[in-house]
Amino acid sequence: MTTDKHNILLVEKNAMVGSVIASTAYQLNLATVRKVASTSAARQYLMNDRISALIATIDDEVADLAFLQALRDASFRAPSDIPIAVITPTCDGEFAEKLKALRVSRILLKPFKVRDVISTIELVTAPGG
Amino acid sequence: MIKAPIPPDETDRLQALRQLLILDTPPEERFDRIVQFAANELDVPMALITLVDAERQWFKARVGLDVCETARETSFCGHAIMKDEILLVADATLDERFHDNPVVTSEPHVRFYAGAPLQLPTGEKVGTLCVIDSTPRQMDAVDLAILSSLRDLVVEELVHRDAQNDTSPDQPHDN
Repeated sequence: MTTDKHNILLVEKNAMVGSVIASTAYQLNLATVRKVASTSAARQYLMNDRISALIATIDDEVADLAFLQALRDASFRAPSDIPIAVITPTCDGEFAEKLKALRVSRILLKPFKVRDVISTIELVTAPGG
Repeated sequence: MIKAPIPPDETDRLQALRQLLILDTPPEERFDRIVQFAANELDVPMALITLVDAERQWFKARVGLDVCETARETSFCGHAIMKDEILLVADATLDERFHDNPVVTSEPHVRFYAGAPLQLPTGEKVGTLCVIDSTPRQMDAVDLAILSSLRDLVVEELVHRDAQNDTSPDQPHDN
């Protein structure tokens, strides 16, 4: 795995958490992690840049799931079938079904550890991830 | 016990440390949250930002330790600033440098230590971000990378803080 191959977009409001995730993934030569603070910023980013996976914190269920649906509908430059992982405070059965319909690869519940996100990056950057 | 050695660039190192104007300053949230994050993320009871002064190590931020400074010669961080990479001591009782160190044989009974040196852009290592446990343990590559990432944030904050000091308005004076 090289940083040239994997370009991951991380949607995370907490700047320190985002920085530690990006730096740790870089040091482990897993991926280049680009950080944005919201799905609206992610939309802007994806208008111009390609990514190979997305890890997104879900803060506003309606708006954020609409963003994931737009990604799956090939509304951006990223391939519509890229791996997606989400970070969410809670996840009941109904929400899990919505995420499953969006072909989300992994759900991380808050509070999470950076180590968990690194495992997720390993998952989504693995062949077939 | 092997006393903390004095690095060859000690004079420059102390000058760089003192130019930061940070020794004996009050706690700051930006540093406190990094040590709290390190303790939580790495599951350790103690995490510190230490600055190694001439005769002491002083703690800018601390979790799990009540004192604000300890002697340099018995400090683990005094050893950590001798290296570029993280100093990892899995079990201090089995390490000739530390096995009879008073912080190992008595409170806080340090057994595990990992210290990432805080190297300024000018090269001087002024202290460490370190995590400590009273039971032996190991760190894997992910733990080390996380500690290193947090260390980089501490250095960024030190440099940023220094730049803020440099741009603070001077005392009013007559022209």
